[in-house]
Amino acid sequence: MKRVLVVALRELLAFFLSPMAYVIGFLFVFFRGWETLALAKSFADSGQDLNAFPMLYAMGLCGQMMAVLAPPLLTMRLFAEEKRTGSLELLMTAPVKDWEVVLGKWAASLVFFMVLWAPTVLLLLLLQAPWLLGAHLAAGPIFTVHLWVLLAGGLFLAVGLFCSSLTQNQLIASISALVIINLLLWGPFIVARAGWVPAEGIWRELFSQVYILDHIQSSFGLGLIDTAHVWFYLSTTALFLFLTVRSVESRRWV
Amino acid sequence: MSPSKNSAPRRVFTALHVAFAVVLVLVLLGGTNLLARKSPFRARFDLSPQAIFTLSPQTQEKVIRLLKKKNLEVRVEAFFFHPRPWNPAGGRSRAFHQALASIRLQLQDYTRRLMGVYHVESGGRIQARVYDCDREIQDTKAAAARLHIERRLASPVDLVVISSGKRKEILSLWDMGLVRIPQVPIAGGTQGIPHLDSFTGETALSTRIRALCITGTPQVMFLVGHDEPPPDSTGPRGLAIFKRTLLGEGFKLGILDLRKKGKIPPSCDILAVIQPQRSLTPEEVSEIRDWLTNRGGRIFVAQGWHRVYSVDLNPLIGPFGITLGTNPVFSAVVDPSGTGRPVVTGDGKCRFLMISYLNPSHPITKDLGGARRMWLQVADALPVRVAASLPEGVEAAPLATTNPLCWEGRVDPLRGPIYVPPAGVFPTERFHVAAAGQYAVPGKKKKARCVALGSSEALLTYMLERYQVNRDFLANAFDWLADRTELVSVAARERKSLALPPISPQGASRLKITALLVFPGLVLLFGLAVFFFRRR
Repeated sequence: MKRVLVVALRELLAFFLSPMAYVIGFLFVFFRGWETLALAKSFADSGQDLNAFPMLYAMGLCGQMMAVLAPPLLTMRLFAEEKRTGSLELLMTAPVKDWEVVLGKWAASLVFFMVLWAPTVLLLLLLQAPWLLGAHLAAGPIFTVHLWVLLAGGLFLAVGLFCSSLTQNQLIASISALVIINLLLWGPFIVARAGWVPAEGIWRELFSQVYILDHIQSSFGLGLIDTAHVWFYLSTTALFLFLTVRSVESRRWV
Repeated sequence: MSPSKNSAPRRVFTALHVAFAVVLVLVLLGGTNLLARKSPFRARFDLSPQAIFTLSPQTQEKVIRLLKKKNLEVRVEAFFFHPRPWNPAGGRSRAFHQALASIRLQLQDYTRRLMGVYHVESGGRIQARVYDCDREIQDTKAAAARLHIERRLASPVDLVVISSGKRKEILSLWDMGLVRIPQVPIAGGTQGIPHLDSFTGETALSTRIRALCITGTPQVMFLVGHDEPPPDSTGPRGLAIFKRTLLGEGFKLGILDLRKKGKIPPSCDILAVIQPQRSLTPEEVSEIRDWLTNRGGRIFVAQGWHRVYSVDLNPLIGPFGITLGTNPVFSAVVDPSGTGRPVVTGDGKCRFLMISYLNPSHPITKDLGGARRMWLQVADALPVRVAASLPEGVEAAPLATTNPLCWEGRVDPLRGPIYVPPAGVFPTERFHVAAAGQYAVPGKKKKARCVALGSSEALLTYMLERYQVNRDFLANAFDWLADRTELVSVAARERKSLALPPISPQGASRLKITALLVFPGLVLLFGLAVFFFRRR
């Protein structure tokens, strides 16, 4: 585990020293702030129930963009760049196992991803200050919404990492990750909209299990934690990390 | 042997090995995900405000248990339409229409989720299905035909239908919540904008599900002819919500003018005597007493004190060992403005008293205690006394008690701070404001029963719509009177809605500065600091 930590710290440092990270961070925080303003105004004007605020906040366009776009951007270089420059071979000759490299890189990107979200959590908490908005936002849904961000972020970053491990080209890595993430996110939605969902049975259960947008709408966004949903994110993240390890390992097959 | 020939079988072997591992992992993934959805492995944690996505213990205990006991399966089917776009010719402002549409969507959303919770927590005994009437047209038509509600769905009205076998109960979506229309400052003036005050879906669904489980429809008759408020009376001081509560509990309602009829009809199960402003005639009193004593009648009495009228109802409830006082509970304090009306505040703002104690051993109140509070009007509440020594065969118990000490430091949610009078001026003893009694009727299994309430104000719309616990108390009281003990005490939480107050211009600019300048600026500054640090 110590070696995982070393790899993670190295990657984390690389993230924090990269100007791109701050550009993404600035844009995200700015647009998130703008979106929060619009949301608060719409709630104040319509008298809508504030209990719905955390969910709409999480489902806002900027939040979704962040959840979908940031992981491919953050992970695209992690293996592709190292493959292109040849530094991966150097890393692999170090006394560190493949899975430790994968886990370290994934952990670093997850920490950085959550750091990007931190200002928006702070803003949400600040909205409750009497001098700002004086809104009574329930802590439970705010926590669960960000738990979803953490779990879904972990999954999407694992997808990004997997795609990065398949190619030397960062653009291909990011686009393929974007495609898979969007499939994961919108695929079940399209299937549901098309009415192709079986009424009951195993396939129905599996469908409900992979319907990410429904997870946020029917549980995390409302302050509910369903262990079945949590397991989906953990197990699918583990799957993609496993595939990444296999992919990294594949250089030894020939 | 050349290296290429040597590596080919190895590649195949590796590919097969990896493919097998991937398939195994996928199977494991699917299997564990399916298992994770099954009951011993699945858990839900409700961190929502007031744990609103978990059924209240009362519902779990009574409704779900009742379904299991009677081996009944219930279908809850919701028919929801999308709100229509704003039409200026409709006579409503755009803001009003938008707020109403938003409330409708919220109610649909909450109801949909609540139905899911019922399904899960009933172990599948309650089947839930939501029809999107604008999209699932064929399914909607088929379900409407099965439930015989085609005509009701001809207009786009959201309905929730609860059915079991051939019996069904129909709720409108608006039965699932309480909507208020406060005046909101808009563009220099004020305008009434609807606001969802609370979501009462659990109460509505639980009562209707229970109504399907029971047989028989007891009749409540309202005594009239003494200037009582009619059960249909609307407005804040009307009985409309009271009537709706009773209908929701599955009671049949009627009115009874005893001076004209002379006799209480056999169909009358419960007689409700609510705020008569003129005295009952001796014949009426005699008939009611005869009905109670010899026919095992049930009576609900609620008399509010008012200085312009004072009707003595003690002859009706006296045999139960219960009497209503003649002066309000706080008659010791007199309004300094000289009206002679007893008050408890110097500023005229506080008119409510909090019930400090609900009898935990009586079926009517045992599940209403805890953190829940019941409210009554101070100036209109009469003390309800229970005799210290009761005649043989008579049982009576106080239900709700108040104590002036419990007001100290309290803030009335509607009227502001509660006035604490100087020491010594105020009575400090406890007062009962509701009681229940019963006694055996010779030759009958049925017992005569009575519930007396010291304030008829507690039944009026403006009190009932504010306090769920007052509604629960009444529902329980009538269920107890009707001998429907399995229905008593099913009380549901209400989901309090919170709205954001209008944002002032100063608040808006502070928000803009914080959200658009301070936070992004800090990120940028940090980035620049890192950049310069690296250059150095």
